[in-house]
Amino acid sequence: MTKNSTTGWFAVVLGAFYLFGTTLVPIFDAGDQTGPRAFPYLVSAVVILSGLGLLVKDWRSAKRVPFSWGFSTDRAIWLKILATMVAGIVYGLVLDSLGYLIATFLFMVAVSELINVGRHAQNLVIAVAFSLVTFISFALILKLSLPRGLLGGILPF
Amino acid sequence: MIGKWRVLSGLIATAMVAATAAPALAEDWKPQRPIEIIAPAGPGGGWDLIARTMQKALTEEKLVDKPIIVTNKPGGGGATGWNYLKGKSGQGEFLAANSPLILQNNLLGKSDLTYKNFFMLANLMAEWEVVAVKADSPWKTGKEFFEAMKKDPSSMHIGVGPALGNDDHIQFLTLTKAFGADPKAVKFVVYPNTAAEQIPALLGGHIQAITISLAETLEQVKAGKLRILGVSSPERVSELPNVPTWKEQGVDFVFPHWRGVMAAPGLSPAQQKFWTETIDKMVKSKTWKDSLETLGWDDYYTPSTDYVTFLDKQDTLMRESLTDVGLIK
Amino acid sequence: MEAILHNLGLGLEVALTPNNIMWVFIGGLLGTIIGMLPGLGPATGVAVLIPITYGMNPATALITMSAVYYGAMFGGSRASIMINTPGDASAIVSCFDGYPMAKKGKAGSALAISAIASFVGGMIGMVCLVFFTEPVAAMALKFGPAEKFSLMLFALTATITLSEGSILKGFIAMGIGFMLATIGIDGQSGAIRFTMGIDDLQDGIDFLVVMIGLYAVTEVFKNFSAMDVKYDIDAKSIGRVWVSWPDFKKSIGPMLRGSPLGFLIGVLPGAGGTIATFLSYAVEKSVTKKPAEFGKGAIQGLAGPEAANNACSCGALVPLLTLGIPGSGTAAVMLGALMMLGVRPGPILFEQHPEIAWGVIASMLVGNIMLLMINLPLAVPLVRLLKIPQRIMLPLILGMGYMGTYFLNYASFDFILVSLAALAGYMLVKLSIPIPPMVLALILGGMTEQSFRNSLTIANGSLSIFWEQPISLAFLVLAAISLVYALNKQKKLMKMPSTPEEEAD
Repeated sequence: MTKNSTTGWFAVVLGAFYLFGTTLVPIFDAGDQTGPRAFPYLVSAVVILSGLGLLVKDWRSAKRVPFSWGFSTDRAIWLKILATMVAGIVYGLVLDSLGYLIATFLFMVAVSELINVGRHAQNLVIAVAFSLVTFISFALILKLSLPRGLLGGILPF
Repeated sequence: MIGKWRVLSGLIATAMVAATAAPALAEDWKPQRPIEIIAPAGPGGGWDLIARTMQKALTEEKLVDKPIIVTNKPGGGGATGWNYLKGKSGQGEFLAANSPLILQNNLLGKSDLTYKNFFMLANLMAEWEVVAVKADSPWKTGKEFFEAMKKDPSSMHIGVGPALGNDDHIQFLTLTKAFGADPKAVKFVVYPNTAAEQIPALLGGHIQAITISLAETLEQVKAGKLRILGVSSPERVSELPNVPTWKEQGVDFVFPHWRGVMAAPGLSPAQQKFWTETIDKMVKSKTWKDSLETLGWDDYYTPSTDYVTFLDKQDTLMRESLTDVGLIK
Repeated sequence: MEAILHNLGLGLEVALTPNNIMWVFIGGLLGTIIGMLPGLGPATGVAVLIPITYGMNPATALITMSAVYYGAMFGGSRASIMINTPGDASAIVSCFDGYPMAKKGKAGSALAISAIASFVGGMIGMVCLVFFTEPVAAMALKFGPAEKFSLMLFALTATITLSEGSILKGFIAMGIGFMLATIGIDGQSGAIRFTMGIDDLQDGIDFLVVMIGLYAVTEVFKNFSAMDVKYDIDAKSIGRVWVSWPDFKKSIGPMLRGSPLGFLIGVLPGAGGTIATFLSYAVEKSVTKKPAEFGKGAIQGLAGPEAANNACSCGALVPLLTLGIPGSGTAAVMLGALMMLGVRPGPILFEQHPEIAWGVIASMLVGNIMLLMINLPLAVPLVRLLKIPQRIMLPLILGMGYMGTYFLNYASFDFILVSLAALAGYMLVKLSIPIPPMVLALILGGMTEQSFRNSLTIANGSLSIFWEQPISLAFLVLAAISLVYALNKQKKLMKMPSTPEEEAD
């Protein structure tokens, strides 16, 4: 697979998937004659045709450089990316129940440990400082609502 | 100690018989923490304005002794904010602004939430709906307009926003039917940015009429750019004494675009009592009345029980109009 | 003409009172700071201010709020340049060349030219506003859905043809953007589309969430693979916040082209700032002799769009002046606050309260000068941030990105979207699929589809409306020209011997 053929196949599959989704969109009597499906049909046509175009271009091309995602060669990087994503999603899930201060502190510790490897003390300082400074400036000074969570009853402000 | 218990259990027994909780305890409840009024939309819109007006009136009249925060939770045509309120079951410190969308979202299948999921505290204010055309257009009354529509529906394009199925849309459908035209043949042009797009489109001649709330058109009418064919209020509005109501034009149609306030589900009778009384005091206060005046809103105060009856009726009416045009199957 | 000058004089009287000057400064500074933070844009800035304005007279309130508004526009591009995270949609384009400039150690020049270009754009926009409001407003009314659709089609085509990489990949990117934009409830029919049963998607995907993922978080991912690479930063030049004469000379043309372009597009209601900045970038890239430098730190690619953006916000005041209708979301927030103060915005606001309306316009002249004075010195501490090592900076960028996401909708579901968008962004970069067409299509998607369908409703189903209206036809022709031009260029490139890297596209 080259970069172009990967992209081409990706576009064709994505476009087909979207096209299938479009056929599932309900149509009501009310609304306009054009309806909710017309525009998505156009979009899937553009994506599928462009994908096919890339595939044709790739088959005709003389010099074909193989492309790899590097899942095995750059394994450490992909794992880091995955870990960051998981940290972000978990951060969102616990934000309301733990409260902004605790959740943000935990998230910052997690991502700092991933990036700033081994310097635990520094990471703790960054995490505490970041969560406190942002909470004070947004929740207390600008009065935007941030979840208070577990600390809700204890916070003096 | 024993005596106290006996009194208490006696009270509870009485309460159970009467199917209400102990009135002696009911006196006691007051908000324990900062109060949160949820505006289920971004800043600047109707819900935000009413939440902030309540915040102002409750604070300035010292009706509560805890601070009040307005929280903007936009999304799902109100559903995001209301779901958040639903999650605060039994907590008396949370209120949310609402509007007919709480009925329409459910009718249109966009949301499972209904007004029955909450403690409906009070209906607060109403705006009125109008149909407006360009000041130099040939139609002067509702009748003339809808006659033209009957003749050639494809030449009449009606601007509505931000989406079909709202009060503006329902007003127009009901009127079309009442004037004897076919609601299904109406060509609606949807403007997601509402008045900001609808009014230029009307002035530029791209569409022939808009169905919209009165406040959005008031200044345009005063400036002589638009003409209002009719208004959905029971009597003529004081700012536009020359504009006839739909009722005067022979259509039995009074249609408020209201906004109210509700509290979390599962409140104790004590909590319910606190809020019904507090809101009752608020709507009678000077701060509240002055704010309504500056915002150009009509007082439409309906306390809790009557509010629920009102919602039952509105629900039926809207179901009919939306079923007529096929938005509900 | 005389009436205009008289009114302007009246406005200056209001704007130049010490009290109002003070509020312009406070508002401008607050706006700049809020605008710098990802996720917090002008609308939030103005909303935060509403409680403070309760006690003010309406003129001061509106002056303060508009100071926050354009302060946030100045500030928005700071974050684009420093950490590749646009503060709002109109600051996306500032990432294209602003961030590469910072990486090359030219952050000082980038920050300075963006402040200067914003100033120039704002001033030219103000002059246009004062003198050309009437004719431009009349033109704007002619703009129906067909014209709007064709304009957006042109903006998209221009962005595709001028993006890095092949045109086919550009179209794929645009398609992905449109796909994301169609997720959620269709306003016209109420049909729920492509939500895959997830209720949180009903409202659609907030493009700002995707943007934070695609730019800020993806940037962190990219750095994972090059952690130890030191940017080529000259320690001496880092603190200098000024533009060299040759750089400035290169920026004059883009600023003078971007400003009127931005003003004209700003007059049309909708996503003016986004279209204006993307189009200005496209214009600069097509007139330059060295298009290869674009995206790698060309100062013209920063100066033009910055000027266009600020001129655009002046243009957005035209509907406000002539019709009393807000031209942007932020203006709508401002009008809401005005209503609480008892002032009803409308076409006769200017006759009833000329001191408010013209006071605000005059205060913007004052504000522009003041913001230039705030932003140039502010760049000095900002530039120092680059000295913070990457291993500390990257977690902070992640923290800010996720926090900013929360402020957009207060929805934890968006944290999932940000993470996925970041991963998608990383993979798209690996495949050399250009990001800009995708982002633009995502932002304009809803409006593109709506104006397409509205056109067809108005024309009773006939597609001919798109070429029968002269303005619409003109944009379609422009779109076609840009496509043909780009295809030709690509053919020429194919014939030339190329490096293996380029061949891959």
